[in-house]
Amino acid sequence: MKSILGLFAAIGLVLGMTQMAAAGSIDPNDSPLWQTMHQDFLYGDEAVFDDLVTVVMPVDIENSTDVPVAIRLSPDLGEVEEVALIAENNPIPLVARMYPHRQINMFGIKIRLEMSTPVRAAARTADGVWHVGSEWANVLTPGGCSAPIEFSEAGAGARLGEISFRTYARDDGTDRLKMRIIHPMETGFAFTPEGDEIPAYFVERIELADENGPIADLVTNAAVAPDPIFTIDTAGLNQSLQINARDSEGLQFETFR
Amino acid sequence: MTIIRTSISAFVVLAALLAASLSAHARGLTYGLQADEIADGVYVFWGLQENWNVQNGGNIVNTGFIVGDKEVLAIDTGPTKFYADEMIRVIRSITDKPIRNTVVTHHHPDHSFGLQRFKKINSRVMMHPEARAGLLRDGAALIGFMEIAMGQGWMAGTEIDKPNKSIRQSMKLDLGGRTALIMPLDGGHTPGDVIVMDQKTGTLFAGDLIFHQRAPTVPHADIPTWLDHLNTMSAMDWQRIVPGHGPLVTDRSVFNMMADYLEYLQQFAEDSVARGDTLADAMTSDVPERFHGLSTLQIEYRRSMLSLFRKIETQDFDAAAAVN
Repeated sequence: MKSILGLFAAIGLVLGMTQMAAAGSIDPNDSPLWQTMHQDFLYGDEAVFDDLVTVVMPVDIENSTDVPVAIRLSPDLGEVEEVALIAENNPIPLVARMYPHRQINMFGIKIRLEMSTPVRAAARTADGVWHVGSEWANVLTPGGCSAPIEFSEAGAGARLGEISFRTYARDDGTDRLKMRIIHPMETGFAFTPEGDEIPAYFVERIELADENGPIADLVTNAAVAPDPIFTIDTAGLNQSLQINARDSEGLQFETFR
Repeated sequence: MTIIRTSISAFVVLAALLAASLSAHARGLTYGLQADEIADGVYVFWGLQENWNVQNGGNIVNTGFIVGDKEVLAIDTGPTKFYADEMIRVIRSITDKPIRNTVVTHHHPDHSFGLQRFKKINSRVMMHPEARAGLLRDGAALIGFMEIAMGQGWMAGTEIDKPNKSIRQSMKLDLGGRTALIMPLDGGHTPGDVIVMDQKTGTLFAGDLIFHQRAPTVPHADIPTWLDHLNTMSAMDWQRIVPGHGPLVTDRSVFNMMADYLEYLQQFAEDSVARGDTLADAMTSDVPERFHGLSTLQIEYRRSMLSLFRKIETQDFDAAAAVN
C-alpha cells in the first residue's frame, strides 16, 4: 500500500514537472524586474508563463506615445477574473486592469512606452493562478511617457470625454466592441516648452455594459496612450450599449445606444 | 528599482552613443560620397538601400547635381552637416562653377537637413512653402529622432535652417547651355514636393515621389494624389529617373510597382478599419509576397499602417461620435 502511494506520488511529481516545463514559472524575457512586478501587481500569487495569453504588438516601436497592443485570451483559460497589462520599464508599469463579467477573447488597447521593455499580459483564472504572456518591445524613440505631445490640446478641448464606439460581427463568430474616448492622458512627467510641469490627468475607470448586464470594468493609468481606444471581443453583444467613464479629476463621461 | 534601472539604461545608451560618435570621429566622419556621372553633366550620389543607422549616418538617400556652362544646380542636401559639406567638396573637385541654386525636394530630414551648408556657400536654397513649413514645424523633433537612430556623432553641428526662396509654381532655371525645369508636385508624398527635370538629357530627379525597389514612406502622404502624380511623371518626356531612394530608373515598371503597393496600403488600411481590426493586428499582418523584394519593407509597412490606419480610424470614430 505504501509503495503504491509512493508510485502515485512519483507519477504526480513527474506529471507536475512536465506541466511546469510546458507552462513554466521562468520569465522568458529574463527581466530583473519581473519579481518586483509579480509582487506589486500580481500580488505574489502563483504565475505561469504559457500560451493561453498572448500579446500581439509590433516589436520595433517608432511612435512611443501610440503603441498598439492586443491581448488574446484563449477560451481554454475558462473563467477569467482579472487581466493586468504591465510594461516593466515604464515609470508607470501598470498600464491597465480589466475585470471581465463575461468571457472575453481579446482586449485591445494603445499604450505609452518610455523605453524598451517586456510587455506582460496576465490573466487570473478562477483558481487564482495568473497566466502570463510576454512580448519584448524594442522602443526606437524613447520617451513615450515624458515627451509633451500635441494630443494634449485636442484632448483638453471642448471634446474632452467624448466617447464614440462601433460594434462589429467578427469572422470567428464573436462580437467586437471598439471604443474611443477623447482625453489627454497626461502622465505628470511631461513639461511645457516654458518648463512648467504638466500635471497628471487621466481616465481612471471605464464600465462597459449592455442590456444583459455588465461586460467589463477597466481600471486605467496614464500609461494608456492619449485619446485611448479599447477593443473587446465577446460573444453575443446586445445591441443596446452603455459606456461610463470617470477621470482623475472626478469628471464623468457617458454614452449609450 | 525602476529609477535605478532607468539610469542604468540611460548610461548604456549614452555609452553606445559615445562609442558611435568616437568611431565616427575615428573615420573622420566621412560618408565616402562619390559622384556618379549618369548623363552628360548630371551626377548622382547614390544612397544605401538601408534604414537609418549608426553605421551609415543616414546615407540612404540619393542626391545629385547638374553642371551647366555658367553654374551648378544641386538637388537635395543630405541628412547632416557632414554629408552636405562632403557633397560640396566633391562638387568643387569636379567643377569650379558656382553652386548658384539648390533645390530641396521636400522637408524630410534625409533631403533637407544639409541645407544650412549650402546657404553658407551662398547658394540660393529653394523649397515648396509647405515643405518649408513642415521643416520648421517638425525639424527640432526630427533632429532628436535622428540622434537616437544614428548617434549624436553624425548629427553634430546639424541645424534646422530656412530656405531662401519658395517654389510655388513651375520655373525654368538657365544653367548655361542647359535648362532645368523645377516643378511642384505637391500633396502626394508630402504636402510640399518638388521635382527637377534636366531638359538637355531628359534626366528627372523625382525626389521621394519615386522609391525604386524600396518601400515608400507614407506618414505625410495622400495616396490618391500621389497616384495622380505618378501618372503625371510617367507621361513626362524622360530618359532616366533618379529616385529619392533606390537605383536609377530606366523603364516604366517602377510606376506599376509603386501604384500597386500604394493602392494595396490604402485598401488594406480601409478594409482593416471597416472590419474593426485593431492596429496591432494591422501592423503585424503579413505583406503579400509580390512586395517582398522591396527593401526596408517591414519597418516601412509598420510605419505606413500606423499613420494610415489611425487616420482612417479617427475619421471613422468621429463619424460614429456624431451618431452615438
